Amino acid sequence: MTAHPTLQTAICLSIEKALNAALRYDPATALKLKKQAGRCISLSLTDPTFDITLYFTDSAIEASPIANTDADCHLSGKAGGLIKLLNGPKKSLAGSDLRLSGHTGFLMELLDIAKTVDVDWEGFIADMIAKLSNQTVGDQVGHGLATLIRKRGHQAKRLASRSPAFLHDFFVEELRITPSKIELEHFYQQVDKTHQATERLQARLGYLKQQHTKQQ
Amino acid sequence: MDKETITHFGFENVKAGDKAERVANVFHSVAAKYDIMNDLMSGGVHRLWKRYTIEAAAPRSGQHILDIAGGTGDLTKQFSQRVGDDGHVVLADINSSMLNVGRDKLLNTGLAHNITYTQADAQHLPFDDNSFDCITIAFGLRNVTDKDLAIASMLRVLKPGGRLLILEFSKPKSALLANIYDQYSFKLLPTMGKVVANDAESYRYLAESIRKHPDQETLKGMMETAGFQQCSYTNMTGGVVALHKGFKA
Repeated sequence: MTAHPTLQTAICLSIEKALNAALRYDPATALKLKKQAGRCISLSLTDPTFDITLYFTDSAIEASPIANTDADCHLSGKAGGLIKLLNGPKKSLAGSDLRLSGHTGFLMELLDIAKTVDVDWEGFIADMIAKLSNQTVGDQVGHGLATLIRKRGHQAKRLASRSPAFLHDFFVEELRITPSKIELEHFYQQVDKTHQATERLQARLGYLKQQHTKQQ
Repeated sequence: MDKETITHFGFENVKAGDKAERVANVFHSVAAKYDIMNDLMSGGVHRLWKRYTIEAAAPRSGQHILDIAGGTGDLTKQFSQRVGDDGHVVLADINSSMLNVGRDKLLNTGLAHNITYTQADAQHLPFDDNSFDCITIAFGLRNVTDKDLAIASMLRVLKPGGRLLILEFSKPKSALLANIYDQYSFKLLPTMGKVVANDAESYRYLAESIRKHPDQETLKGMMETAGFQQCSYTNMTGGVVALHKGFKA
């Protein structure tokens, strides 16, 4: 039994809703998790103290605030250690504060899945805004906003997925907010020519001034 | 308990034979607005208490579950989804109005295949011995006239190894919280009942019945006396609500 059951239940419900909402926008991950149906992982974390058991079903993830002692896999330790494990490149628990009991393979499969999550966030946000807009300003405006967000989102995603060289092309060719190398070289040549012409003009003026002084 | 025995109806003393009818009248009156009033009175927290109860009940596929005083079907809905096609849930309530609201609500959500509705008195459950894997009673026990009789009846219909979960209002652990809770219950609650459900008296009874309900340790003792094993309870929201759990040996 947990210290603050009402709060933990609220957090578990929020996690459950967030995970299932995210999975609707990441069909590949949802498909991988479907293969884990019938299994569950129990987490007993400290700093802050928190128990959660995640049950995988055919269609969703269910989160319970009660630790399941019969879970396929039980992970315990500091919450920070779990966050590091999920965010970092490592899949090993060696050197972390986390302790594992049960099926190690199951945890490794879940980590594999967690590290390849690719949620279509712009789709998620666009749908949310469309839903909200439909309720407030009508279908057409909502659809327009959603389409705009999807378009910008796709552009940003494309941008983020490419190399720095692509970023250069995007700013130069598509947005045209920075000049290309050729344009810059042409610009520098023009500056040099202007500089030389100015020097020549200055020399000519100096010469004419000198001639004028001699005639006087 | 003899029909002439004096018991309580909120803060009022009444004959045991009269209590059931008066409680029935309260729930006939509040049935239509029960869900909206629950949300309003608890700020939606009753959903968390019920969800925690479901998780503590740990229903599994294929199990048979009895939801006593199931009212508008909040627990039954979750149980029905979790026990699956091979399992079965009985939604029982002594009050026909509450049962009708619950049945209509569940049918409207498309749940029908594994649920049975039964108008039943918790003191005299109309089921065979050793019928259920799990029994729950959420916010219902305090309205039962003879609680010991009801707990014994639940033990009888539970399978050996089965578990009983009682979710009920209880005694707050902190004096400060108890004071705030009293002010809320006796001043704000009847007013909200008057405004939303046009029924201040019923909501005054609900507040009073909570104060007359046994505290955490007393209820745990009642379960042990009835024959339940490994009895324990979890306080929720500072003890405003407690979830008691016990097993049939």
